[in-house]
Amino acid sequence: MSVDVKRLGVCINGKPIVRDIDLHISDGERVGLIGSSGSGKSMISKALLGLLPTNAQVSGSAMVGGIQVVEASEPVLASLRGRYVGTVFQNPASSLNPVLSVGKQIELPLKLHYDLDKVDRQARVARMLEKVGLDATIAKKYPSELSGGQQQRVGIATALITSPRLIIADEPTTALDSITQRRIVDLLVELVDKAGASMLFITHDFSVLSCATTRCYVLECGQIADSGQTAALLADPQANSTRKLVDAAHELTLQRK
Amino acid sequence: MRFIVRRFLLFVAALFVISVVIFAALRILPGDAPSVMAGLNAPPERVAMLRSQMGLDRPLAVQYSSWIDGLLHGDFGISLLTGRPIGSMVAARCSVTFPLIVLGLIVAIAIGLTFGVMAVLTTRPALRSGFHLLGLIGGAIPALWGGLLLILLFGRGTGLLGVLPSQGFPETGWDSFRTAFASLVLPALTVGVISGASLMRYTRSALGDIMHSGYIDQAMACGYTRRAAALKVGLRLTMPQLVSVVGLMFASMITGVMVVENLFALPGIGTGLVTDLGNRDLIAVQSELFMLAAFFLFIGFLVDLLHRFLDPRLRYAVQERA
Repeated sequence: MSVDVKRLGVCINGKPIVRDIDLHISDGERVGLIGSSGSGKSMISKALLGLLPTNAQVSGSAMVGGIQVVEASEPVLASLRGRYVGTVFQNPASSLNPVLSVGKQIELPLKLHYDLDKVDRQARVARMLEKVGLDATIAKKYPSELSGGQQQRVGIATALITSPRLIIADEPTTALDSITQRRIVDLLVELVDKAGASMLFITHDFSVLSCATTRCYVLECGQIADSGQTAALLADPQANSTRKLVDAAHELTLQRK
Repeated sequence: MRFIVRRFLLFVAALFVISVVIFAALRILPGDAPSVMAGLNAPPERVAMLRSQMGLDRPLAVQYSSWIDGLLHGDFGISLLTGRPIGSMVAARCSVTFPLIVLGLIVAIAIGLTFGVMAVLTTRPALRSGFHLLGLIGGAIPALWGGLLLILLFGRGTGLLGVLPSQGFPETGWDSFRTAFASLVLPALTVGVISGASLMRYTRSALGDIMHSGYIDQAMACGYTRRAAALKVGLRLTMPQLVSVVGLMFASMITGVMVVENLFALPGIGTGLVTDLGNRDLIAVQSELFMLAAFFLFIGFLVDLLHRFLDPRLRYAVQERA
């Protein structure tokens, strides 16, 4: 599923958070969006999903799979979310429903978008859990009974259960340790590629981005500061903001070693 | 199961402490009960006879143990004022007060949840301010004034519309169902509207917080609209908090309805307790107070159990500690 964003702007209570964003994701492409904290990365993903707070004003255009999401109604956006667009959030501990079992959470997008019986839904959940490397018995557990890595795998399973055509991963590895980070990124890339879906991967860490995407946009103070092939930007950063992020990634890698 | 047993033991221990406090407090209160009951110019023999009838001439430990023994066997004692068994007196009063509280609670929940959710879901700033104002005004109205207002509007005989009874309760009780129910409508509205305004503020605050959380984003990312996410995920997540609030509201209504019962001349627990206390009917008062306290604690016990049922994180945390 392709994404075409033109001059996208987001204001919260009149204060501009994101300005004049132009961004394109082709069908089946994995694109990154990188920037430091507060640069507006999550606001862009929320604008694409129609999840912005009610006091936000959006301008410009954002076409997701041919649908203009900026002016779309709630029902149209809801029919897009979970079915054609899957989302993996930053911190599964604060996004997975704490009072719902893991199986019921993964099943939810199927329940909302497809007319399947319970047995069929549960079988799909079991298969999905296997795909993300979890035991099917985990379906009966609650999120608080799982480790951070297991919770994020549940988040990925929930996002991918309906085989969506676009995955928006909003800093999916930030809350995890470095070993689990790598495993989660590899799993996400493998599953997205197998499904032939597109992905918008949001992060502040270039080392994570280089594993997950082929092309990326660098965001600074709500504007695109740089863009290009991820490997090229990592090898030879030209823009100031890109250089800072690349240097930070190198320092982190050295620290980890 | 261990949790339930532990909570139940705590409940029993708290009941014991409360029984001692009530027993001791009523005996150190100023004003000798037999003297008050006998009257100002009563001869000392009459006072001594009353003291003996009330069992107040026995040692305190004996008085306490015989009271508790009676309670455990369902014998609340005999009211010296009316000569009637206290158990049946309290039961008759409960048949007015409890339906009043339940009706009041239904009104409070209907108002509190509906307007609380609407206040969160509305995107119109003017409407949101309106709900805020409604919550403030509703919560600030004194029960006495609110009740009078309802009587002036709806009370039969004196009210503008004159459609509902505003005084008393049928002597035949719930045998005259329609009259009994009608006589509780205005009192229940008085209690319910005021409590509903508080519940509305709690709902708005708790649900408003949840609506800004990642749980709602996740639910919407799965395909819920904002309204559906609020109703199906948000409300469910705020339920443990709201159950606590409703539990406390339910328990505090027992004493809170005293004013309303007096205003509408209802023969409930509140009115009865005030009368018995004024008459120094010690045995009746201590049994009534103990029952109120037991009810209060029982509601707390139920709320604890409901919490564990509603929030699996609590079950898991207890398992981990064990």
